[in-house]
Amino acid sequence: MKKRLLTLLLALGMLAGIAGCSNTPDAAATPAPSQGAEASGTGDAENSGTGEIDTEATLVIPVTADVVSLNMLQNCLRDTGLTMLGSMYDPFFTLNEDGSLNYYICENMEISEDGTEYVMTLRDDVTWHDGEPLTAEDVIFTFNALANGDLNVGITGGLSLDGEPVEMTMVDEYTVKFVLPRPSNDYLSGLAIMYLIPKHIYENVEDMDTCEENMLGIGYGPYQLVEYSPGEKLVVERYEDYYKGPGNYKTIEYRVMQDTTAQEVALLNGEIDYFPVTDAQTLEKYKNDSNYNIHSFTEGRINYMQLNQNSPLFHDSDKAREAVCKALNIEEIVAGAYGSEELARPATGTVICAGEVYYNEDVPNYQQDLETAKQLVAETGLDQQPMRLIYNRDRNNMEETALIIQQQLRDVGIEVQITAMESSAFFESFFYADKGDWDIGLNGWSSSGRASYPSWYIKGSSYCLNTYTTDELNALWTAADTTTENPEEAYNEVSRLLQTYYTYVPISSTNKVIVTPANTHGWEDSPLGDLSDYSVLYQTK
Amino acid sequence: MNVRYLLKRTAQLIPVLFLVSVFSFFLVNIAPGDPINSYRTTEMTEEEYQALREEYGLNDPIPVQYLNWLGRILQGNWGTSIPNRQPVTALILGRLPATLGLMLSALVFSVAVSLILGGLAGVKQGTWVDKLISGFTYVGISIPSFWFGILLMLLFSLQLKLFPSSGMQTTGVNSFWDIVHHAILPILAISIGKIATYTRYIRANVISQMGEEYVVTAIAKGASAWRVVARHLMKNCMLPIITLVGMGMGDIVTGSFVIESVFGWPGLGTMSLNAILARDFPLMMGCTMLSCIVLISGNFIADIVCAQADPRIRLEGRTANE
Repeated sequence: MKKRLLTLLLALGMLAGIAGCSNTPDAAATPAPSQGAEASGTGDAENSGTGEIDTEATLVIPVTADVVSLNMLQNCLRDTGLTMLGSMYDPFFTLNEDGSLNYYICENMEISEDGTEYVMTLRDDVTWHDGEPLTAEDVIFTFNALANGDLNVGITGGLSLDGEPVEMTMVDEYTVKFVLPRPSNDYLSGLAIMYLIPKHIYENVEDMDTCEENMLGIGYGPYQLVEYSPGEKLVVERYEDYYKGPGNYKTIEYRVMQDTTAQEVALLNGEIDYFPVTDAQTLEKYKNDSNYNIHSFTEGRINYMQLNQNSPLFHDSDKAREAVCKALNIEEIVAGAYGSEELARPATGTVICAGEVYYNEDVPNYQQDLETAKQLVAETGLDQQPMRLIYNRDRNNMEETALIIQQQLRDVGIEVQITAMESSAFFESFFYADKGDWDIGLNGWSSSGRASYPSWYIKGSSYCLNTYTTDELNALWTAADTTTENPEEAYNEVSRLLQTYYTYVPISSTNKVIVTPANTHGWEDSPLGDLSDYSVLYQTK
Repeated sequence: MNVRYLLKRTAQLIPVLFLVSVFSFFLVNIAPGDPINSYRTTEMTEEEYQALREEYGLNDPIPVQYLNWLGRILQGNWGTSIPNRQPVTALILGRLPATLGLMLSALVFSVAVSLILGGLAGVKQGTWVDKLISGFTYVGISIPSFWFGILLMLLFSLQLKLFPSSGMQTTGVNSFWDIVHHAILPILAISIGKIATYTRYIRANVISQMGEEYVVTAIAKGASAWRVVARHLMKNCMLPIITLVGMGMGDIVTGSFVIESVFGWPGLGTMSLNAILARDFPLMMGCTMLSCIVLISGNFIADIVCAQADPRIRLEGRTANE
């Protein structure tokens, strides 16, 4: 009898689960249909609906973590910060793939012929959310605050090159001139990720790290702060005096939801309007659902394999490193780990992330050469002892990548032991690898809109502890940043030299893929990713 | 109430708290990971990074770090959360109401339901009612609460549209009932395990008490079974529940890490989890110590309540027969 009861209860539970999983949104929860299909979407354009923009609508975006504060300078190096505060702050401009600029609060940028003088003209109609005008004084104030270590702003940037300061002068109320100690091809991309803080709010602050002003959230973007409930949500509303005209959504809510299953349930329930997809199976499910659109953006991210220079197996052994690099079939790894080209493509051999200026997909990556790999394995004795591979278990698709690498290395006689590590422990092991207690590490880096060389290859950087780098490589990088004649080729030279060290293997170049209800639009018009311009997003009735 | 006993028990809390703080601090500090990672940028030099570690005292030996921390705590300074750049006390106090509300509601609900189910199963021992309730308790004890939470979400939120799937409040709605509406599913998910455990204890106690002379006498005098259970038996059955509740008081503060995360509940549980993931030592220690204080206090209060509930128990460890 007891067994029957248990069976009955379990069956009811399973049925409830199955029923939930197979749910299709009902009429009440089904988002209103769209009139025009998105460029990459699959939403049913033929659905009924007025097609009018709903100016009273609320856009709800889930985030997996919270912001540190409402000061963009403390958050602009984190994906969560850029997402949650992105509607409250605007950049000066964004850089397009062809090097052209897409202006926001900056109206014009003139660069001298020798590449050392940058004259930035701001729009004269930009105001802070408290109504004060945004002027060149705010730019100078922000950059000086960044340079002043005593203020503890938390980041540095755009302030010096090779240790030499960048001089700033205020030409007039809306014009600032930057004079660089040398030309820099990367300087524009550095400016593109800079944000401002209001001088009239912060001018008397002595410690910007912990000051109360950081929670005021006075920005200058299309949306202004309404409510911030730490750990729960951030709510912003349309700023009517926005210089490009008020946004379409009345309100945007960022809801902290750490669990991805809960996020998907909330999407299906009509509670949120945005869901990131990381696996091919989920992607396929939404492709076949006309209630949703799928959008894919180049993420500007390279996931790579690092060979630890401090590992006894690889230290001073070019041949051992070469053996590993030549044993890998990168196309096969990416196909197996991601299952769809919409999620990731095999990385090319360049150190520049896809979507960036100077990115060149024609730089070849390592090619599999099993015969040479086997020969080198036998020569170096790599088949005599197991190798330890570590990866960050909190990152998507890393486990699958590790398993396929393990299999491919086994094919040339190398045994690999895989260790999954929690994020904090992984980064400590990965970047502080002086013990040499791992041999292969899987990590990723994102350019965040910046064509910068991974700083863990620059000597003296806090990240450059496990990597094999040389003065020649550093000099070549500086030359590529400085030259005005064909910088793309100079960056290719950097990539080619790095390949000869057999320490860094780019594996995948990932895309950010999101699912949105079919009646939300404008995602494709938001340049450089999905959430850099909230003013172009809208919902139809 | 014996005042001397109360003072003695209170004094005993001090060494317990000290030992817990020592073990927690050392465990937290030997775990791999670096809280300064939250500050580190690609442009930071190794020198700047080391200077930050120095500023937060992370380069000192662990015993020195502990003594510094203890000194600050004794002065009422719980430190500053490294990634959040905010005082630990402010962060904890900001999240405490959400967790307390959720966990106390779940506790009250669990005790109320398990009193009914446990009493029913005990009185109806061996019948289909008892078997049904016992079956439920086996499932409740075995089922992971996060999985049950997701099931609840799929059924009541996605299918039946009765409750929101996440969050604590609807934006723009400031009503108590809106919070209750959001809290029902997490409360159910948290309660399932508690109800199952408490029910089994109460059932066992009811069965054992049913054979006692005072019960037989009451029934012989014509009292109904329910009157006997409600007026005489339940009081004695509550003792193990009071002890269990006392032992579970630590949860009241840290909440349910996973359930808060699943339902997007902005409480101390999610904050503690994030503190662990970010190796935010000051916040981790703050949450641990608060949980410890509440746990010890809970046990202390449970002892007193037990003594009040059962006069045979004397707080000094003597019984009525001595």
